Amino acid sequence: MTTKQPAILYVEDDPQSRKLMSMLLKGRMKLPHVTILEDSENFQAHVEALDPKPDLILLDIHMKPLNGFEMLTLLREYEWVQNTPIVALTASVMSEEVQRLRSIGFDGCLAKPIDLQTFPETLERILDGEIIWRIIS
Amino acid sequence: MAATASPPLSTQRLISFKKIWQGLTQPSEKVPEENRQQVSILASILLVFLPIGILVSIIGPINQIFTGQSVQAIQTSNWVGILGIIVAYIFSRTQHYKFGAYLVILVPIFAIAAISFTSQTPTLTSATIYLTLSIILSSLLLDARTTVVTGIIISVFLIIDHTRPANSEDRLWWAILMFMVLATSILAVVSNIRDAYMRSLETARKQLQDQIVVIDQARERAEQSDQVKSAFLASMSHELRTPLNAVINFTRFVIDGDTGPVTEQQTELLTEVVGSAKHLLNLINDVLDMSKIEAGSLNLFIEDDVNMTSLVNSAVTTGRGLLIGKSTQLQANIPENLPLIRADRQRILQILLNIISNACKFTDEGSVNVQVRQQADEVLISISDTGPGIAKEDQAMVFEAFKQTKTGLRQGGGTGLGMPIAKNLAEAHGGRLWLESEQGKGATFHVALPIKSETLVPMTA
Repeated sequence: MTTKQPAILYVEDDPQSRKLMSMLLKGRMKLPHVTILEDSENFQAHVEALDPKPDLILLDIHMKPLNGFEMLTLLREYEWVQNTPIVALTASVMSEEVQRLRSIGFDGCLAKPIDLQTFPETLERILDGEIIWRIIS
Repeated sequence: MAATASPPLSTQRLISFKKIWQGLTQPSEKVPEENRQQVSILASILLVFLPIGILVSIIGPINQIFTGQSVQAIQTSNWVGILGIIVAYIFSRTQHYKFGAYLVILVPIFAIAAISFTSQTPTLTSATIYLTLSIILSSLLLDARTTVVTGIIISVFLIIDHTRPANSEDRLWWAILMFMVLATSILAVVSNIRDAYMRSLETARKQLQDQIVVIDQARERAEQSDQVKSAFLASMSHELRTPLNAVINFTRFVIDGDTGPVTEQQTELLTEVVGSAKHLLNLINDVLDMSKIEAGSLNLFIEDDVNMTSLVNSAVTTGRGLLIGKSTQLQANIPENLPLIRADRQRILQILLNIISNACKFTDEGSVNVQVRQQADEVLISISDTGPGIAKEDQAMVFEAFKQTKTGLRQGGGTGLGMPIAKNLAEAHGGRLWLESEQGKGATFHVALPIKSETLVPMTA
């Protein structure tokens, strides 16, 4: 699934995290297809309007009106999402929560704070199909 | 049957071999507090009667002169008595104290009955003394009602015995009558015991039920407070990590020049910001881990195929990063054919990182050496360094939460939680963590992890 310039969808309600990821993905990594949603309102409509379809989806967990788990469930109904890695990007990384992420079907978890230096490489590894549970950082 | 309080009678006054006596009369631990004194009285009485009984049996003929009864009957009743005393004593040593008491009361009656049935003369003057003893014992050992019942039975028994005719044919009917009185009284005692047991059973059942309610409530409260605590820890972790994400990474953007050129001094200061924020993050992680360990709510994410070779390699790589600018060398000897182990990958890495980074931190020159090998059904990882070492008296402190040795404090940094967490994590895996060290001669930390621990259950993600 490696794409030179993967399309990424990121859903995050914390403005600083959005700004940070925007600086990283758009600014530093210069990825052309980065969509950042600031809430999960009309989530399905936003997702369906995406073009191109994302190669990787990053979801925050504690969100409203839909939380990360609910967004995951909705996403999994789309045919094109079946092989798209959906990774949690969350600050809730106590083992119970991570276990819940795993059991509900996330393809990995990246803990906040993220590591700027290794993040591009980590994204590449995820796009190559590796499942990463970066619980401690 | 609720035993009424007996008159206080010091058993210790009876004999000078105080300790032996106490040992022989002390009731079993299962006897409830309120019966303990009675039980030791019972045991004391029995111990006094035993030698008397044996003595009387040996010098039986003297008794014959005194009572006028045939030696044979006296001897038989004496041995019955001795046997009864022994059995009653055994009862008194166990929690069947009441059986012992009943036996002590019944044995004289039986002994007298045996004499009476076999004797030719109806009068049993000396029997009155023995039977009075039964009543006294009853009042000492059991409750008031039993004493009254015992008194009535004995009185009826004596009246019948005393009034029975000399005519041998009628004597048979009197003997049957006496037998009936005894049989009825024995049955009464048996049913009394049974009732008492049923009552105590019922009381115990009710008490148990009350206890269950109390325990249930306590458990519910504990669970609630546990949930509150877990939720608090989880949200604290989340709430602290979110702003740290911004602090660390926005600062990094500036340092990395994403926002334009920075001076050397700015870089230096901003690097301090990142360092401090990361230290704060480690503190949060460690404190949360420690509180989970102390609350017993540490959950391991167990996988069946944890590759030790790659975990140790990754920890060693991190360790080498810590040694930049020092002359210390980090050497690793990691065999390629290590077995896959059943463990929580992340937690094993945490253990290794804690030990290796500690070794790197404390070793200013010389080397840090990482050895891994399979030993029976364990993987043994040994990390030795040429650092300052740990004095014998400080070694236990290394594994205590919120404690640091003098050297540790001097070195600065760290929460003092790394080692206790590592040790707890190793133990949660069914493994061990220990250290060997001498002051001034470096230290070696060993971690032994079971390859396939039966107590760990792999998760299915």
